[in-house]
Amino acid sequence: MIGPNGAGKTTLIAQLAGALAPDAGTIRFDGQDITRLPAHARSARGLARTFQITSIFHEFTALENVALAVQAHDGHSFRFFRAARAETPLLEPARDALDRVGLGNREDVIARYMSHGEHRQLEIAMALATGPKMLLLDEPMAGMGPDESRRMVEILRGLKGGQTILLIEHDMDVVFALADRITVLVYGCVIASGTPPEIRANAEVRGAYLGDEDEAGTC
Amino acid sequence: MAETLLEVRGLSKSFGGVVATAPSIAGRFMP
Repeated sequence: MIGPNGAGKTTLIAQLAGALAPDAGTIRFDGQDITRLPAHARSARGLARTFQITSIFHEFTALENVALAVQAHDGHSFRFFRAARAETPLLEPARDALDRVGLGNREDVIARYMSHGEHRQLEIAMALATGPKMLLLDEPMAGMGPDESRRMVEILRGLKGGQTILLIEHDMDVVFALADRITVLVYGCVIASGTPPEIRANAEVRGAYLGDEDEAGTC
Repeated sequence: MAETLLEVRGLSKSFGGVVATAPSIAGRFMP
């Protein structure tokens, strides 16, 4: 999903994740109405938002951080973490998740010594390790340099197909490089939805992004 | 079309609705 600043992207993702209660309407996920469920209950049902799961522990290694995410999702208490560090059932999915985001060779690195881009990769690994049915990504390239951003695009490209992703992004290039379907949100209105070629050719989208009020339309 | 995984309707006066399908990426608003 794309849209310029103020379009409502963050509001929508906050409503999807359960951080913000909608005034009206319904949200159905995997066949169930989750409109009134709290965020943790949505996460338990397989709707993972990177930012809410991720409080990276900077004194722990990458692997330990992901193992903690697995442990927390499975409902164990954090005070048992010492045991968790040696538990294969936690480490196996943790290692698999690190591999999927390109951090397989960084598992023993203390998070404090990882780059900003690696932290974002680690956050996604922590979400993936819980086995979500859907991953909500809110501008995962924010604050990244061009090289880190390109790397993240490649990582997400590798995840798609095996993992359902709702990517919210204001960078058109990133969205067109990744998305199978694109929805354009402007001032809280959906002005277009379709494949990348359809969106690229849409006059309203071009108007909204070029600032042409006559072409932007209303909803 | 794949099974519907996420469907949003009438969240506000202006949100039309979003549908996402598994397993590939899909986000679709339906006015």
